[in-house]
Amino acid sequence: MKNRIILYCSIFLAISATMISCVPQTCNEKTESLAGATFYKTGTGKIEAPDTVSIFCLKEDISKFYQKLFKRAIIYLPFDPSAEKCTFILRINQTTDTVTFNYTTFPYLVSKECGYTYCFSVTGYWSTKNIIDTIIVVNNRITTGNEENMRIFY
Amino acid sequence: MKKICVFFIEIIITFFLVTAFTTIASGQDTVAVVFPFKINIGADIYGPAYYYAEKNSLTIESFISVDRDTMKSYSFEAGYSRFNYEQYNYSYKCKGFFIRAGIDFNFISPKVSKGRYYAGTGLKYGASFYSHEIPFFESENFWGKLSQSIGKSTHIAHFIEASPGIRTELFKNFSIGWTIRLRILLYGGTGKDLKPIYIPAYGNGTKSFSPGINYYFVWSIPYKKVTLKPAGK
Repeated sequence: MKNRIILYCSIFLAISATMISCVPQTCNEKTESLAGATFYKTGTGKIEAPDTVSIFCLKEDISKFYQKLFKRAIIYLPFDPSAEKCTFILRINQTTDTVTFNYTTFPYLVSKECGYTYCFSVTGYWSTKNIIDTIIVVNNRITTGNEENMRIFY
Repeated sequence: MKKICVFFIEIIITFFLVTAFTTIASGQDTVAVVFPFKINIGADIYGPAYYYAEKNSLTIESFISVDRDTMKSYSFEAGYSRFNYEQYNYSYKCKGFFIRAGIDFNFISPKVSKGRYYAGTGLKYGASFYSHEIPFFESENFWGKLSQSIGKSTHIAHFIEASPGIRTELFKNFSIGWTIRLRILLYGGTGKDLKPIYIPAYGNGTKSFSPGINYYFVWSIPYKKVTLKPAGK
């Protein structure tokens, strides 16, 4: 009788153990770290989307088109993990400004399924002031969370 | 969520075991029973068997436990683990030693178990001394693909675990049994940016909860005998 109960319990535990299965998972997380920049109207201090924003990325004096957005209050900028600074040309409502960010790059584990990516820590920035008034970095850590990292007042 | 469900199923099973054995015990309370206190030495065969099927992961571990009384025993476990993982965008290597220490609670009445059966749970603290490295990883964004490697670094992880299980004596002083491991990570030993994909004796270091299983062969050495008198005598 005792042995039978032990046997039943063994079966119960074995079944429950099989429930802890190693089902392969797929990568469902964001793997790209993008710097979120929100547009604010100077003077009002309120979020205000420009009519159009065109973004060009500058590398070794060659500009590369990235995005053209309409009525978007937040844009996401891709930093270059192989460099220590990155320059973007922002054409806001047909007026162009150049913005340069200095940063450090560090590797980051997204998940076992997705693997590793690069994240950034902003150390400094500079911009021309044709339409941009001020840039404030509110969160210098740029991760795959794609949260607001800076505010562009124009 | 699924793993939490399994955790609760384990608790229900444990309570089932207690109830079942307590019921039996109530009918066996009329004769004196000699209960041997033992030193148990066990070796896990699940780790080597898993290695036979999956060459990327090897765990070798054993335990020694000493009966404190008829229901509790002090347990010390130690082992070595090696883990290699590779997929299209990275490879990962980890190896290290681990220890666990705690108490095993046998829920079977001593008059039923007579030192030969165990159904209960262990509560243990574990520490894992490991090194890991990322020989290759690749990431792609707007600027293109970039590959890099991260060298070997050494860390210590801490965890606690509940280990419900059963054990039964097959031959004199020779037992076999299962142990389910339900672990909670206290500290992985690294920062939040480069969490370990694997921690020896714990499992997936990116998760705060990790289940596992062991199957033990156990050799017991009796070192003391006590006579349990029937109730009311």
